[in-house]
Amino acid sequence: MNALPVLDPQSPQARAIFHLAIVAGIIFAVIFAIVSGMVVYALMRCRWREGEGDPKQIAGNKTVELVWTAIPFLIVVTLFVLTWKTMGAADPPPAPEPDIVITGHQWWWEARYSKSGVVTANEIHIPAGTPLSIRLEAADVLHEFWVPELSRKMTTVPGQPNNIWIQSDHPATYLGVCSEFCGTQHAWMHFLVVAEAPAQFQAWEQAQLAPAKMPAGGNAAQGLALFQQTSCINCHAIKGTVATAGVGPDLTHFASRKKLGAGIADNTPENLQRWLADPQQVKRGVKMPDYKFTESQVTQLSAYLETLQ
Amino acid sequence: MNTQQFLLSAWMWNPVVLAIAAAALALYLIAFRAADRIGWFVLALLVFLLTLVSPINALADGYLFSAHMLQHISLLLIVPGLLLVGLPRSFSLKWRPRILAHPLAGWIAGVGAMWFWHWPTLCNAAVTSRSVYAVQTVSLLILGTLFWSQVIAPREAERLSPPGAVLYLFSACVSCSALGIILTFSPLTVCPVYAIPAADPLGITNMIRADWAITPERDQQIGGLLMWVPMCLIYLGAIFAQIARWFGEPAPARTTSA
Amino acid sequence: MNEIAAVLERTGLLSPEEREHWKMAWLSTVDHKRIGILYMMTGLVFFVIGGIEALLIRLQLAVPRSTLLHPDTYNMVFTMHGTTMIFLVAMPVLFGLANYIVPLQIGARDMAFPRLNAYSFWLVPFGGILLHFSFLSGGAPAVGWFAYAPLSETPYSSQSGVDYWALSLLVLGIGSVGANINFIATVLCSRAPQMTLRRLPLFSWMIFVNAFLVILALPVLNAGLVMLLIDRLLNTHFFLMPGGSAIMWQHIFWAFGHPEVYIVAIPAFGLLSEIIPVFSRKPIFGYEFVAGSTVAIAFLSLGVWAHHMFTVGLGHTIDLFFVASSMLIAIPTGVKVLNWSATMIGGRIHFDTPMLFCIAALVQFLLAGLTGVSHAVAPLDWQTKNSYYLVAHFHFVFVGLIVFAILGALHYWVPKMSGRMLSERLGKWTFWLMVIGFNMTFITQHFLGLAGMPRRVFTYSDLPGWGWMNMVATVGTFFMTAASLLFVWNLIVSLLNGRKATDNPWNAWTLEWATTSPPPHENFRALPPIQSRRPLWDIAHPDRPDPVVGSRGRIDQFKPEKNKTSIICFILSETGFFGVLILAFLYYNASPQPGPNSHELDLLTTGLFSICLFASSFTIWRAETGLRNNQQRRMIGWLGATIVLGGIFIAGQGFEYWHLFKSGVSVSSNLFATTFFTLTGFHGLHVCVGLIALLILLGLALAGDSRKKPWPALDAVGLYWHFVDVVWVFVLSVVYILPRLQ
Repeated sequence: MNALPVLDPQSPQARAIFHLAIVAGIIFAVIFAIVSGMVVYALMRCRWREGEGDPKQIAGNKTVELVWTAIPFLIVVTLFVLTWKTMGAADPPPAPEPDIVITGHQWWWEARYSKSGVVTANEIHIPAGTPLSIRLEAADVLHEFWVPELSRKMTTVPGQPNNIWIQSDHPATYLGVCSEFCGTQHAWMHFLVVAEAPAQFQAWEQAQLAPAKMPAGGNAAQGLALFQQTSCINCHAIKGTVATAGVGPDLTHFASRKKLGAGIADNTPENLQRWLADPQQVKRGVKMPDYKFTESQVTQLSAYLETLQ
Repeated sequence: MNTQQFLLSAWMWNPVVLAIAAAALALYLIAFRAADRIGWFVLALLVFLLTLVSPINALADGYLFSAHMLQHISLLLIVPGLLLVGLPRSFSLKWRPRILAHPLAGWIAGVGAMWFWHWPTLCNAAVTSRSVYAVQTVSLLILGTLFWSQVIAPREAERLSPPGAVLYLFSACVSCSALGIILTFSPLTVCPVYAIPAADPLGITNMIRADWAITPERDQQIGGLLMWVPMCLIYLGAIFAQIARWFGEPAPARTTSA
Repeated sequence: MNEIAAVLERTGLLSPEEREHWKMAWLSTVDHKRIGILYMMTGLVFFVIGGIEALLIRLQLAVPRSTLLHPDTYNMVFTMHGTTMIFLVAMPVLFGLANYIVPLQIGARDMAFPRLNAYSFWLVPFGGILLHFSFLSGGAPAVGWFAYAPLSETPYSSQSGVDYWALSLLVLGIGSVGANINFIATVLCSRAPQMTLRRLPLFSWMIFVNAFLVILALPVLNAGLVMLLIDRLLNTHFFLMPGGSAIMWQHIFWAFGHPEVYIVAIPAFGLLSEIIPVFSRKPIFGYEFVAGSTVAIAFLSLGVWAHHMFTVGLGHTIDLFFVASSMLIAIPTGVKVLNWSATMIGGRIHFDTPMLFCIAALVQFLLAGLTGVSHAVAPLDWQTKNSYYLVAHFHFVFVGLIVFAILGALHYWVPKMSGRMLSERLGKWTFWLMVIGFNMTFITQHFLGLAGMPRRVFTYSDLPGWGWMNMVATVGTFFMTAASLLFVWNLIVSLLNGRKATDNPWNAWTLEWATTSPPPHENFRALPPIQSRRPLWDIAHPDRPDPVVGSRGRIDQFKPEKNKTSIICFILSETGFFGVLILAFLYYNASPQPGPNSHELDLLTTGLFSICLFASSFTIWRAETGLRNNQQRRMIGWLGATIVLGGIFIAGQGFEYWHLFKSGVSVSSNLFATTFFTLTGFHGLHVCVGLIALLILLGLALAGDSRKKPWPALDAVGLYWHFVDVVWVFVLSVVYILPRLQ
């Protein structure tokens, strides 16, 4: 995690924006220095001193006005040309078929890998060094997909898919956020982008494609039974079980993810149990209601979910 | 054909257009000799020629709606405006019929020309039929002259007062912007002939679609945006000129009585 | 409470005969000076509320993972903070200042329409209370001040908060339009004979130009709000899937919202343009350019809204054009900043409190402008949009420029309003606390944005730098709170026992300083001669007066009749409203909708009653001619005919509606039905309003009122009636005829 990720690009797309930011920043700094210099000069040299009368009454100067209209105009033209060029580099036209379709939900992210068919949530793995065409969709309200180090931000709009490219030059983990206000838990709609070496990425993809392992027995098996009997299956999917709903995050490989509740907590057994005991206590307003599970039910469910590597 | 070849070869020296320009210049010289404003007049003729013989014309001829829009703006706003500026300040427009001298007539001419010629049927017809195209070109020039004569008639007394002219230009701009907005965001094709080019006599469709990356949708968007933004800037420039004219009016001497 | 009356009387804000009923004297006032003060007091009350909300926001964000506020509470608080500060603080205070100052600056006795003025003012507290009533009805809106659809739609915000929000903004919008029609009419029709338009002081000039922006932009919002309310209350789909478009709301909102930024910024520009010259002891540098650039800003601001939408996927083509127009607006703005700076250069600057606030506002606005350009550079916006960088940018505009300019203006003009000087010592304390606090809070937020912190989050995790930067920002707000309290304290102390203010304590040059402090009820006992832009300078320096500014141009003496002026402005404003509804109809019906469509409509019947409506334009024209020729009976006859024809039209429309309802078509059937009923319904509503006005006129005419000459009411209503007919020409073509041609 970098302190100022906007100024720390890790992909050609983000770098194009960064370079423009540097040029624009220099232009702005020079303008600021000149104009505030004028003001400071006036404040230092043109003070009124006790006993002084009014100064010479100068009402303006046409040449000066024309000059300082023309110069900003030239600056604007320059900036416009730079903008035009950067737009193409930072946001090329989309590929005909997206690599990943990412859907914003209140308040989590769903990722579907078009080619392999992997479905996951809040943790997007990508192969380092490869540009990926991302299609952004919205399931309910507007959200905004933003990973400052990797790409531009883009709103997800219901009924109007948008496209961006993301890429990471090297393996690393990046924090992404939703940056368009989307309701109660807008603050906790984080996601991780995990860039891996291509071989590792392929391994991850293979692992994700596998259906969930059936627990051998004990708490975990009881947890699975509970999962399938209660309303869990109305919202969640776990490949290899009867649960196929798509309202909430796909849990097939839940335990392989680092974060819980779209970034609100680390994915540890303790946090998971707190969540199952009452999700509203962990993430107020989240769409998952409090099922008032007993302590043993919580233990069973969490034991099962922890097996979903 | 690549872009460079196209830009070099697509000039069409239409004899009628050249003859009109030459005749206009000759008439001007006969009527006013080489008045001091002749430069503007010549500039107007140059823009006129550029609009009708350059590759813009080739593109507007069935290829690009946006090129057609450039022509449209040039013929309606730029050429007539420059023509009027090019006339000597003493030239009176008194001979205008009274109905055409009314500001409302000028306004309707300027705004109406925009809306009228972008009616899908007419827009199509202007591309497919040479005679409709000729009528369109001439009508744009005349209507544009009517529009501008309210603001930049050679004689000060025949113009609107500066704040009135600001209102006149502003409302015209808003009305054209509205059409620009419709063209930009409309999911429909306004001028279908550009979307599905029937023939490709110059062999440049591929260049436009591939090298320039202009799809029919994008083409219409550019056309709409041209009408919306740069056209508004022309009006804005004229508004500035009006403000300058207003504040630049000569001041009288100080009167001593209150 | 009688002490208050005593204080008011001592300072001259109350005449002795009003003492007994001083509350009514103030509440029922139609005097522009009192209304101006009421506007500002209302703004102050809401400033306290909005300020407390700001403090809650900063307290919640002071440390990571704070649990001080429930997320929903936080979301309500920031929504109310934004809405309150813009609609209930910035606008009322600026309109209040303008209300007080403009008539004085132009040598008028009062606003053109004092009662309309009072009405416009009272809509502000009414709208404010309506908005805050939502707290009692299940919760304030929690959708942000721009209420993006579909979050603001019923499925995602089912409580009535958004309804109250939309209703209150409608009320406030109508009030703003009323107030600004009044500004236009006042400047055009009520100014002193020698106060030609070219001699207007810059503040009055900018209020005048700004008023046009208000009457053009607010109706766009009103149209959007109406559509949102119809969506929410009648289950339609303007901005909701399936069929509707969330992007459409953004277009409508920002087509209002960006001009809105300038609606509050231009008056602030006016304040700087008044105060900086006075304390530099020099005329403004380049009056013509400062005045002209205002027109350019107002004009361009109407065409740059989509730069708020660079991240919603409009495509590069559209983005680029808006990049260009948004960058262009920086040029006239830059011209202003440079002219203010040049005014100071070569001056003899007096560092009194008003000037200190203006200097800070100038420098802070310079930074705000530059970060603003960085948002016009689309790729930079793709990174910094919706981050704290954006929050910092617009607070630099709203607080750094506008609040600072207002504070400067209050320190400058309060002596004129109350007749008492404010304490310079307290004023300087206020200034330094404000500058330090403001920059602590908002300079820091630029970096928070670059650190990736999105706006509108109720909390955040402890990422590198986020914790301490947020803490600094929170501490800054306490400095600003202290500054605000100190300012209020300064006001109270000055009112109780401040030094008496002379007529012209700052040696300023505009007309408001040529009368007593506070001014008498009729403003001026006698006006000084006005031949330049600085009449009081000319009096003080007969040896070197300002050059005379022209007075013989055709426009200089332009003084239209005020009723006609105001109705034309009103029509201009209504055009914006119907423009949006017509564009919405075209957009939603561009491709045929499943379900009912235009072919369902009976063109023949509609054509018949349309002819009645068009004919009524002729009859009202005949009525006007009758009045002009003093033929009372003929006039009454034609007036009656107009009412009958209008009535037939309304009956015809009712018949059409009934027919559609019978065949099962209602407003929520599909988007065709929604847009059809919305457009024709609002037109019908306008016809009804016109009919009521005509009936009132008929009644008055029968009672003999029209014998009094002149009787401008008929001309005014006539214009309105013609407008309603013209709108129907468009509605008829777009709704009935156009779909048949395709």
